Amino acid sequence: MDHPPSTIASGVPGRRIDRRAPRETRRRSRQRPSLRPPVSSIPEELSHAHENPLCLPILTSQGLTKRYDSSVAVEGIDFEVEPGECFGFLGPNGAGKTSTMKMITCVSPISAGCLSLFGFDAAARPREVKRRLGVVNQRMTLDESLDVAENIVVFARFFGISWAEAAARARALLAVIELKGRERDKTTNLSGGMQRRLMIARGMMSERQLLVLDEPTIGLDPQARHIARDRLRQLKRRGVTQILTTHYMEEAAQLCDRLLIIDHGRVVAQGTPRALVEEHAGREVVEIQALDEVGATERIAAALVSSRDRFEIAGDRLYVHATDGEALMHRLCALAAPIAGTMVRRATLEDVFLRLTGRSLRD
Amino acid sequence: MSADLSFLGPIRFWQRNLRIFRKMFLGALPNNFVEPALYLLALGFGFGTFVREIDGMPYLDYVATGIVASAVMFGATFECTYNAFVEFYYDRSYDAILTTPLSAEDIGVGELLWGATRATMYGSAFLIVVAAFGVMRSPWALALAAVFFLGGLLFAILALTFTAVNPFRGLFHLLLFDVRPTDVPVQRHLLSDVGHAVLGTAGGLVHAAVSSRGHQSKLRARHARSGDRSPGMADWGDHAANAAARDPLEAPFNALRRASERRSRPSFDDRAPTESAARPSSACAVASASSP
Repeated sequence: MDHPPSTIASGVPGRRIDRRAPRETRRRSRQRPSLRPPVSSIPEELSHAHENPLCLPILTSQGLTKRYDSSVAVEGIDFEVEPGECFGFLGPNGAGKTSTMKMITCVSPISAGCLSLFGFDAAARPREVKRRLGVVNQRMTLDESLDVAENIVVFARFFGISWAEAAARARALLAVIELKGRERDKTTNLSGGMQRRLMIARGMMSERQLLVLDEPTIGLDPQARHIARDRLRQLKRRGVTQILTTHYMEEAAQLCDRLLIIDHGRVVAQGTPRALVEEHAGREVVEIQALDEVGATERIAAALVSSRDRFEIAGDRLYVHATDGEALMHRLCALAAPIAGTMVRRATLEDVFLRLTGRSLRD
Repeated sequence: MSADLSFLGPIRFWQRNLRIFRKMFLGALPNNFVEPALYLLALGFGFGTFVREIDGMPYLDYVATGIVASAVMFGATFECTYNAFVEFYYDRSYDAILTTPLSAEDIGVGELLWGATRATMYGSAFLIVVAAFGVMRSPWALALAAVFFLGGLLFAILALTFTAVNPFRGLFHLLLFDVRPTDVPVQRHLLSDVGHAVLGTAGGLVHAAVSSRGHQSKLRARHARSGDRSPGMADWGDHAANAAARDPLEAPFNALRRASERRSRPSFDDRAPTESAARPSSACAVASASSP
């Protein structure tokens, strides 16, 4: 457990919860300037992206679909990402997260639907879109044949930045990510955490408006993960819009203003982390361990049916989404159900996730 | 889908490759010179003592020209199969580059230009060694660099197409390791755009490369019949363009021969634990734990 539970309970501090209502509320919120990041924190580059970047969503997706030869990875998903927010994608393996990321980064062609970023159609003008994107791939994609500094310099060149300017930016960035003095090292000699930092630095090379991160903290130890999250929060304070996918629920709850849960290529739920927890997992979760005897789970389940709480059975454990866990336990106690142990805890995003996408293995 | 090619994209990709090459330049250099020298010694002076001349040409000249031409072919092929393949499937560097303003076409063309560049470097190194053995008899042979580039470009196209279309795992197994092609965008783009355009040419190229020598002797026979043993300048231009289109092996081959014979000048116009607020279980829970 690396976080106090209070973080989850309060959702993301400083954000209004009223954004859980899907579309209309969001439209209204768009007109409230108080929700926007202060203009001064927005990188200069943003100001000339299009006429009024602060009033338009930075990304709009309608019916976005990705079909491969024999399967459909993404089946018509709609969402909008507004400037300055951190938008998260959650889903089991193979849900279509990475396919969606690939379409957003204009790497994989869109099969159907409409995707526009910064006001540009992603299918028609990928270069204009990619010029404004910072991307951190799921896999380690650093150039192993180039050293640490060159990885940034060469990338800067692809964005049309001059050699001298690129070298200066590489020096500044390496100082920021605490890799100063390792400029000439091979990337393979860096630790996993350093490599991730370098990838994020490379993605942020020229103050991009939108940072797309596909599982940015995968494979990192808890320390490095916390530092990486800290960096991402800093970037957000500076006004950088972020889209990220992750398998760490506490990460999604901490970083994201809004979440999209997808499964089998379709949107299952959408909203702020707190709203999602309230709507789908209730306030508390009672974990019940059934006694090791035949039919124990079924008898507990039968006892639970009388109460109107939703519950799930996973092996010999039952998860009950209750508004009052204590009361439920007293009731069960009165029914003399075959229970080995119980635990009442606050509902988390993980409960939402497992409820919506099931407990069976994927892949 | 139409090709989305920019002017600067391929050049920037080429610059990247050049930067990578500069890091391993010193390691690659000796090999570039030792290899041709070994070939020349073994074939030219070893085997060559048994063969005096072929097609009316001294055997050393015959072998030297062949070695230089094959170096060009190998330089481009190696760069666009082995190296490009590693970047496709293992390093995944193309995946990262694709998220920059560079398009798949830019990367493809950049890779081709780089393959041709490596071929030129490789061919030139061989040429220098060959010259050291006294096979070169005209400074005009230096102009061959341009022919090396064109020949290299054709083999780079052939090799990169092969790398792009190699879902037939077995084929590549022979050459490299385990191949598991997934959705590699560059691969798809190459297949849809460049690949289709080039596949036809590639087929012709394979054929031409295989029948290179046979073609060579037929050509000679034709010239002999027409009584013209030395095609003139204009003729040479046509011939070079023709040969380069059908047979990149032959272009440098011929040019080198002609340069050394000084008969005509070559022209080149041509997923983790979550925090649970584990509250102490109530007395009821404890009691229930012991209930039947």
